[in-house]
Amino acid sequence: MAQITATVQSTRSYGWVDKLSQVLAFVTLPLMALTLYMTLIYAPTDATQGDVQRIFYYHVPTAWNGFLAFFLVFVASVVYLFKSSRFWDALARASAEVGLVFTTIMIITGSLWGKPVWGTWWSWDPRMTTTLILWFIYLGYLMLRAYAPSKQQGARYAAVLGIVGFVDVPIVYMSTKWWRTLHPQQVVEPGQVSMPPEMLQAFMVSLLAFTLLFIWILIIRTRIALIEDELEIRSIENG
Amino acid sequence: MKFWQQVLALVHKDLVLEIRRKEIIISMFVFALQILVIFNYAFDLRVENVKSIGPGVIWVSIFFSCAVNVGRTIFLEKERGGWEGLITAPLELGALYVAKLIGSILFMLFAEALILPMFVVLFNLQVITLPIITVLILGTIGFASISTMFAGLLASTRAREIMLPVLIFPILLPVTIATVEATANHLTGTTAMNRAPWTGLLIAFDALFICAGYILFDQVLEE
Amino acid sequence: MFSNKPSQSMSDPVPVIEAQGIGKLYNRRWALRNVNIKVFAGERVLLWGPNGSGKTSLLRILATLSRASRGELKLFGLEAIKYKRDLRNRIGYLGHNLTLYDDLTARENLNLYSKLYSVKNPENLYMPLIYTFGLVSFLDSRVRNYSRGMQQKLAIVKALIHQPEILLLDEPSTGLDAESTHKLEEVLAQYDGTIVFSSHDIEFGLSVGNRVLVLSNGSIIADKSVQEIDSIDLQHPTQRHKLTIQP
Repeated sequence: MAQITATVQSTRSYGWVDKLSQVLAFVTLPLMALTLYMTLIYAPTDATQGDVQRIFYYHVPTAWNGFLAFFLVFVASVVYLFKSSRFWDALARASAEVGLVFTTIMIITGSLWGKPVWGTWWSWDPRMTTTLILWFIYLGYLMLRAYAPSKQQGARYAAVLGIVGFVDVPIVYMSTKWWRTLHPQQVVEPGQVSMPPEMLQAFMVSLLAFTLLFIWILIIRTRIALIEDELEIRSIENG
Repeated sequence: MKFWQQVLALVHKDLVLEIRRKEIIISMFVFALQILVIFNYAFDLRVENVKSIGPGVIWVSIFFSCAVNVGRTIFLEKERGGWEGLITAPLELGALYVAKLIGSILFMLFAEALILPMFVVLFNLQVITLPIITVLILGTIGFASISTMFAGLLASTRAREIMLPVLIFPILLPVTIATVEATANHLTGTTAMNRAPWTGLLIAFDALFICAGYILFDQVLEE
Repeated sequence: MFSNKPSQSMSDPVPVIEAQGIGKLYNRRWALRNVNIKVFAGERVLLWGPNGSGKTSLLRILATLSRASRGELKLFGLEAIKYKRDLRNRIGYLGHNLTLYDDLTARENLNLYSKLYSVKNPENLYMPLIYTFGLVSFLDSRVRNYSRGMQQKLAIVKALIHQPEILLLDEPSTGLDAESTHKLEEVLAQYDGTIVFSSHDIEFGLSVGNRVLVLSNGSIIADKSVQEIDSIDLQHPTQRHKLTIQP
């Protein structure tokens, strides 16, 4: 990553971001290792669900980051519409991609967790369903950028989708929740698990590690997006 | 007021064109009718089932047929060239959005006025009651608010006919749930305790996204 | 009445069109690169260049139909993007797309645009032009039934209906026969605003224009008044006519 910043001189200096990124590299990797230890070994096995419950330590943090990413897409979209700045567009793009990955992981882990515990791969649980909708919106966001007639227009269109989608997500959650209370499923839902302190510690470490990982990957991806934009602009001088 | 003068001129133009071309409303009706027929075989809609499955059937037929057709109020502008004339015109903020929104709502309502009686005929279930029509209108407005916004956005985009449903279906999920549930409530006479405020949700959704469209639509027009 | 030397400012010191560093990127191709021009009130600027040189892209940006990828555009001294709504009232644009509704009559088309541009008594404004172009007997027939040349003439009338101060015309004589082209030259001669137009018809171009901007590959390679033009050798086989400039 240090090599990327050395070979292309950007017109804007994002020095503090690069420093933050390097710090994060040193912090995140050990923290992820710690998370693996704590979630898989240190934390006790759940009484009712068994070892499968450990997916929870991965499922919830990735979910949280998936939604955080979408919030960032929303903020970046709003600022982009006001300022037409390449940075905010790059941030939105990067956040959507990273968010899509985290959301995919959340859905898959949720499904893997659900099968042994609930007996079904999918239960139309409001949280999972809302995340699935979010996943669709992310996908639509990236497709829109890909199919737009030009990058600039794609950026504007995606910004509108980012704003509309974000505003819509709470409404989706509410409507799926109400629906669920009217059409309860047979499966037993995992309620709020009262967690012994070791589990809570493992969870907190995992949450912190994944959030830092998310930020780190986001910074890298945004940097790359900015470099891609820069290269394209540079081609005017050469082409 | 300039805003309403422009909106009315544009809505009038779209209505005149539709009357002369007869492209959109008839397509919506025919497509929905075909979906109704398919549903009869996909789900066994015998008398005892029809009240519980009926609302879903109506709304899905309307939803799918409109998702395919309603974008055309804008896509046809782009294809036939009028679109650039509208962008370069000094339209007030949101005037084009509101004009296309009203146009889409009117087209959908006309099509629904044909689809609902067909449903009654085919499945022998009386759905033409005031509460259900209210729900349908609110759902239509919600649907149009989002589809108009995204049709404008997709006018210059590749694969726009399929991108429109792909983009709007997830966003419209609350509208889908709300209209189906509210219609089912009215049909089965569910007591107030077992209901959720679906109509309120629809009104909030409509208001929110019409405002969003009003503000954001003009951002997507220029090249 | 029209300036012979484009670089000298006229009585109105604020340029009607001012483009600084305009570039336009279309998915990996720069259609315009670093375009800097100033156009003053009353000038008639011909954009000359082969296909793909950026004439249409430039006109679309000036019409606020398209946003520049970089650079700044000011019209009447105002930033184009910020004030676009007000500026559009003062601009008339005719592109390759005639923006006429096929299933409406000519009258209905003109009345529609009159309402959008808030034109009062539109008939007083468009009827003389309709007469000039010989479209009177077709006024109430659907545009679908018009020939290409008739549609072009109607589109020109539509562009003028709100009495814009700037006319942006992309190859306005396309599809017009010799007589109609002459009529168009007359109409433009009577028009007292600023014109920026492109044309492949050299006689038409030099008759209407008083300043020529030559574009090549997205850049302006020459900016001369019509007097200075003898011929430019562009070495483009697609051109039927060649302009040469006196050294």
